[in-house]
Amino acid sequence: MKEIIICAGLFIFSGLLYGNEQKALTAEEIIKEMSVRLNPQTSKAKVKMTIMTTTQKKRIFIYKLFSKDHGEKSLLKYISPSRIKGQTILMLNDARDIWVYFPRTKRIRKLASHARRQKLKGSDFSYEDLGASNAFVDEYNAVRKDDEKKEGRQCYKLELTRKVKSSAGYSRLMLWVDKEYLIPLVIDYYQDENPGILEKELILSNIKLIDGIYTPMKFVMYNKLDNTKTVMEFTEVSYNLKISDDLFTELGMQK
Amino acid sequence: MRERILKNWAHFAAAHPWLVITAILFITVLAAIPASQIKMEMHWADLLPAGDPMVKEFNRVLKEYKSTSTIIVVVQGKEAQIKKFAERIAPEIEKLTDYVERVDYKIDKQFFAEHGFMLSKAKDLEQNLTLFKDLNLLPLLKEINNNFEKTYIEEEEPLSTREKEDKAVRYLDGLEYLLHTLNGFLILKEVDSARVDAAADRFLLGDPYIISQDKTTLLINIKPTFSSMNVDEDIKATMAIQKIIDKAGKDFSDVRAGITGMIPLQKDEMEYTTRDMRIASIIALVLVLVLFILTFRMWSSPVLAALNLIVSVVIAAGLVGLFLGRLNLMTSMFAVILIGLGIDYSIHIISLYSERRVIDKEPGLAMEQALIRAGPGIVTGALTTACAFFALTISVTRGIKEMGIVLGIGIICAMLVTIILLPALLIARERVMTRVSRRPSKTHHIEFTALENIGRLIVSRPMLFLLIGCAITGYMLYQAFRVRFDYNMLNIEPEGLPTVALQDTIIKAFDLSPDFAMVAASSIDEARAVVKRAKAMPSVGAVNSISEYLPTLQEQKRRRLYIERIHQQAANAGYKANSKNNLNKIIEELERLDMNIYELGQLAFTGGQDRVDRKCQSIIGRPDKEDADNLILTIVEKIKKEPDQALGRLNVFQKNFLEGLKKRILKMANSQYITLDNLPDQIKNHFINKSGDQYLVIIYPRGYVWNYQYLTTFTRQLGRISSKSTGLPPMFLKLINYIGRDGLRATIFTIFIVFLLLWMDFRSLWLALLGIIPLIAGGIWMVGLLQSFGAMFNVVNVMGIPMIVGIGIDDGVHLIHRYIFEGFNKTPVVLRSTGKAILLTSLTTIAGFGSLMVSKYQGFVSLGLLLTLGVAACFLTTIIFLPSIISLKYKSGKNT
Repeated sequence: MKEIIICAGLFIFSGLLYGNEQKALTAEEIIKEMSVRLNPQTSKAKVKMTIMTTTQKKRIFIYKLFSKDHGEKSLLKYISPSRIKGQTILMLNDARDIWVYFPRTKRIRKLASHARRQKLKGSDFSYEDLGASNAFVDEYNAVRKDDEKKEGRQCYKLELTRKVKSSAGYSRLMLWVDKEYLIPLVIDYYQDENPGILEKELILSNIKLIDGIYTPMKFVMYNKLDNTKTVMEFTEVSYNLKISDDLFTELGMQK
Repeated sequence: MRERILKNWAHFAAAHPWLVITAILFITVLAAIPASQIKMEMHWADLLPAGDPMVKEFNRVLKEYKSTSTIIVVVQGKEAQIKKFAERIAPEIEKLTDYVERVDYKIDKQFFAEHGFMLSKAKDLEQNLTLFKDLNLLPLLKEINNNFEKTYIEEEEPLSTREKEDKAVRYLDGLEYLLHTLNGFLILKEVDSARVDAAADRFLLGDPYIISQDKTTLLINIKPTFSSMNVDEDIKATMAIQKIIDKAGKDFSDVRAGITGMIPLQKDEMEYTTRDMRIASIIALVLVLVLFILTFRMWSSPVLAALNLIVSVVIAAGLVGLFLGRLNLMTSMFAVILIGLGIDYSIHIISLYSERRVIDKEPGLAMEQALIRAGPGIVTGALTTACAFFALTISVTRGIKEMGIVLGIGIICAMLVTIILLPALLIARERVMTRVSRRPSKTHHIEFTALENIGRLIVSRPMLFLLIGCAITGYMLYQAFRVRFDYNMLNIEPEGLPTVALQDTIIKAFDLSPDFAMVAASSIDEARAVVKRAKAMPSVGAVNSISEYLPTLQEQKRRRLYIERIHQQAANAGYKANSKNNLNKIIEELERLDMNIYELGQLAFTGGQDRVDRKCQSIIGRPDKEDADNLILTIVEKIKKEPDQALGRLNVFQKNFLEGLKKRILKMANSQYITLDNLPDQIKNHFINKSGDQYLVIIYPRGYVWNYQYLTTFTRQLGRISSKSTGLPPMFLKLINYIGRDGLRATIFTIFIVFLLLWMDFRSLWLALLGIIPLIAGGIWMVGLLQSFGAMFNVVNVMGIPMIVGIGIDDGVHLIHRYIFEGFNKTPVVLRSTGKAILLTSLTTIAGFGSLMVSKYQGFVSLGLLLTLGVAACFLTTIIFLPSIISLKYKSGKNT
């Protein structure tokens, strides 16, 4: 879910909805449309991510990110720092399956399925945040609240509650979706076991129109429990490219 | 009535100066007795209200668990040297039985060697069952590799928490030691059985020393026989331990060692603050005297004023000793504040007396005129200031409340002593001088024409000056809103304090803050529940409790099943020599191990888990360096280079290691249940109180706890862990909240009281309002200037705000009194005479507060700066606002 937002963040077809009477939209319609926009068929991006290590050192990673099938498949390939250049993470089935490839040992390691909830790269994003494409729709029930202004923009306010059988990592989400772009500007994530505790807050900003798709170029995830933050910036983004399925395979990881 | 009393007293002092002096000196000697018995309580935690439940719990826990009153010796240097140093000093420290109950620098090897498996989780035991299936080198390496690969592939939890990171580092450390030992065997011809035993120990139990991951910092924890609340013992114990460290240090030139922890910190804080106050008081006194001498061009009167001041301070200290019996961080500076404020009364009297002596021939008459003119202002000013200070007693914070009492008493003492003693001293001085020189004493009177000229200028353009004043106030208000609060407790501690610096060293070396929180649980089950909740909190780095050593019976039963199987397996383990065929497989497993550690390091690097990454690098070298020192590949190379020789030595190593490991596994695979009865006393004493009904849980923050954001999160999460949680970090947050609330309440209340007193004194609402205007403007300027100087508020200097209300009002009071006496159209005269006096009093007060800025204690420095700015600002706003408003209102020249 948020995942999408993130890595993908980018995506999809704008347009379509625009003639509609937006006031009349239901929560489900907004979420569906938002998910479509956040998850284009294919996307390619160059990302700069800044994290704080456990010894409070700042570390910057740059990687390429490819996604296909509306974010269901994604592949992340490190460019820098040099010691991890070529290291690749493949996420399939909305990040339910995660593999890591190490160029020096030429080995591929599969991560445990529950790892999707774990932090990625020491950041405040989890694999789930980055890899799951349709989670907003599949994993949560949405309710529309009174519209609010957020980050200086008119927004739909939505409350998403985890479905009973869902394995999503958060009990509840609050979203503020920009009425014009239908892109979330703020997402509040509530703890898995305690819907009263705000765990993380994601702020999406610097929205640009790229290949006809409104794309937030900056994602800042605030971890409210750790008081840490991770900044993810898209330096290059392009959509609707031809990306072969072969990329999202063990062989593709090694290319 | 007030005038009559002052007049009569002037006559009496003039008639019987020696009697007055003798009587006051006698009282001073009496006051010195309780003053000398004042106790110094210099920790910021002493500022909190004693009745606060968290503070009460903290004090109770400190009293009941001496283990919470820590003394930590931090030893830095090379691994072998610091371990030797620890071995040398620990037994010597243990001999200090008056102060030291126990010294810990290694884990309780015996207990872990016998019960280590019972303390391991069932999941880990299951893994151990496979790991220890065959203790020969090849199968052991194979299983080590399998375990590495399982960690990420199977349902094993990844390295996401501090505890797991620690576990991984400990495991890698044991493995590194084992590999070093193996490497050594490939070179050495003789068998080093002690080294093999140590390798088996390290592999199973980890490094026994409390040592940092990079092996350069070692900690020795000392449990005292007393609580840190006993300051005398704090000092003696710290000095005795320091002596041992210094003595041993002579033989270990490459080792650096120092002491930190709650007890040495208390001692350092007390020593530094006491020294700061002594130095600041002397500087303040000297500066005040110099100012006085330069202004009045005479030396004897200032010396008398200084004597008058010393008497005031001693009497005030005596009263404080009688009523409170202690000084805290805030009140410890009362002497400096009194020097700065108390001298003002002398200045007013000496200034006017000098003026009058030029006019009046008789000293008695001159003193009468001086007291009539200066006395009301002094009394009102002192009472206003004292009331403002006493108003601070509405605070719940102990520090502020006591500051109000101490300073209130001090001001009244200074005022009374000055009115009673100083006239007698001045008259006596004149008599002595006349007798000595056989001619009348010459009195100097210096005019301040500059102020008179300013007065004329203001009268000519009052609106312009008022507008300038308002404009500056507007800008300062803007600046005041931008001032920030410094929430870092360590920033108010003395600069360069070794104990504080060593705390930083611990944080850096161990990634763990030594400032912990505590919960005293009522049962072991409650302790277990607290531990469980604490471990689930992201801000918690580590948790220590008896439950870590005492698993539930259910857990032990489950573990026992594995332990019995491990025991059985180990009992059957036998040595199988490696053949040449095995050698290639051993090489393969070693190369696989290299890959596993490399991959783990890479994942740790991208995961930001620096400690795991560093440990991996210490085994296989820097991954981005081609020619990095790789321990595993070095072993592989040696085996490949001389396979026949390597095979023989590997077999010798394997035989020795297998025996050592088997012996230890058999001992550790002890299926006896751990109970409270068989738990070592050392562990019980650490966590259980004397009456045996309370179980201590110690919670270490994961991050830098003095970062406000982090502190807030940690404290909030502590609240969720237990309502009984306490400790210095949450208490500091409480102090900030209390001081913020008290500071605001006290400031509002003080302004109200001051206004009320002015109204009563002047019997005019208009004059009372007039008196308040420069005070409020001065307060705004003070905060605005603080921001302009790039400084911030903190828990110490924030109390300067209500203090400045009491101090800053004086200038306006004296000026208005003089206006009333001279007439409201006499601005130049008022500024020439009283303006001179308030300039001098402001300068002397600045000298007093400014002297605080030479302190090592940063809290005092910040308060000194704030009050210096405040006093200067109040003087300027008084001479700008009062004359211009008065001139505008009375420009017709009509007097009221």
